[in-house]
Amino acid sequence: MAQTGRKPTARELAKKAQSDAPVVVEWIIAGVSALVVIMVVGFLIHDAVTRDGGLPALVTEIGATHPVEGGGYMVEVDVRNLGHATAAAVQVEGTITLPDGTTETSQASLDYAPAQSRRQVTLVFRADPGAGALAVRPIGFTEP
Amino acid sequence: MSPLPSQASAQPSSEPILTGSKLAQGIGRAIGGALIFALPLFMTMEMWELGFYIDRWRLLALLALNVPLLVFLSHYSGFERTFSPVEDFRDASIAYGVGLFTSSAVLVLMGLVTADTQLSEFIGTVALLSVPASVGALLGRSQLGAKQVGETEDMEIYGNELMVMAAGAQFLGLNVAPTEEIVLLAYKMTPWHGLALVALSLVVMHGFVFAAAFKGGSEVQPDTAWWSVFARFTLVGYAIALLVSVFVLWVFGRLDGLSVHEIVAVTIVLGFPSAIGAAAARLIL
Repeated sequence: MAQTGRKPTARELAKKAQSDAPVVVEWIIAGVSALVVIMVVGFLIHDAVTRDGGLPALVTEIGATHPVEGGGYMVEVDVRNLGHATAAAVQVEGTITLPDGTTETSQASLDYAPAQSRRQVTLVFRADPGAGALAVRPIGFTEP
Repeated sequence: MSPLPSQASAQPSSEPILTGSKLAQGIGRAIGGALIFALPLFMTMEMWELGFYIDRWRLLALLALNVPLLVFLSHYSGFERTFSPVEDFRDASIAYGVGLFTSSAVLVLMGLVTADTQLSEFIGTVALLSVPASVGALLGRSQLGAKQVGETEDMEIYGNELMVMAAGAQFLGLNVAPTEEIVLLAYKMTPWHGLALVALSLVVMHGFVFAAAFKGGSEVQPDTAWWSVFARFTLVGYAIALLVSVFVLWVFGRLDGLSVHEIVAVTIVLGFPSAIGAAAARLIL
């Protein structure tokens, strides 16, 4: 362990004593780490056995509306993927139907809607969503 | 100041670090190291964008944790045999300065920062890029220069070995984490792929750990049982790599809004290069 040929110094002897028998602390750390890794592996096995694979299940929820400076309105939309597969290139469309029958449509897209996760998009309209009926839905997606 | 570089770096130094051309050499090596380590990140699109939209508090957390890392690396593997925390801090500050300078210079030269760029965007991007650049600057001064005295002694302290693994994990993890491919891999992966990746990470790490153990100057004795080495170094190193991965992903906002399943998947995907980095760092540093 002392790589040179001279007599070991006190420091080297102390190091040797330390490294000959791994200290309790090392075993504790090793134990905690083993626990973490086992938990991760167990989680994955559970996932592998119970997840159905399946298709993405996209659900949209209308959130808050904010007026835009200079006219217009922003509507926050929560996009939830309830399925176990990720959707990519998700297109979300919102349509306002005003009392006089005219409609306005806006679209936004998401790069990814991961499985079991939540993402937010914002739709921008000229008309006031509160003045009419706002309907929001996902209109298409691809596989990542 | 001695004219011979090897003598100069072996002396305990309370004098000014370097004078004249030696200073220029040192800074030049630091800049070279920053470029080698951080150029892949300098030229990664996601890093530029992250500079704009990354949560400022998380960026501060990353910068704050980078400082003790630099101080540790300076003490453990720095250009000179540093004897006090003040000197380590000084070297860490120099590395940070070089990192900031190199990041700014590269951004300006590549036209990513122009007169139209907002100050807050510029600062965000430079601060983000200076993290890997500073690590590179510090290691560049040491690894590209004279070999250190007493490096093998310090290697034998367990805590130091863990810190070195964390540094290696952080470095490789940071290099890969901002890219879209990491989350994409996680989204496409099935849990069986995840299990295979965990197994592969552990196997490769263990191979590296054994190579480092027999290199000499390491804490592990050649006759230690393999399961003892596995538990105390490979498993611990992998846990450290996973922790570092989670932190880096959180800083970059890659975990926001994800379910636990996806978080585990992304962490394992990033954990693979981080684990390799952790294991390789013990060999290299």
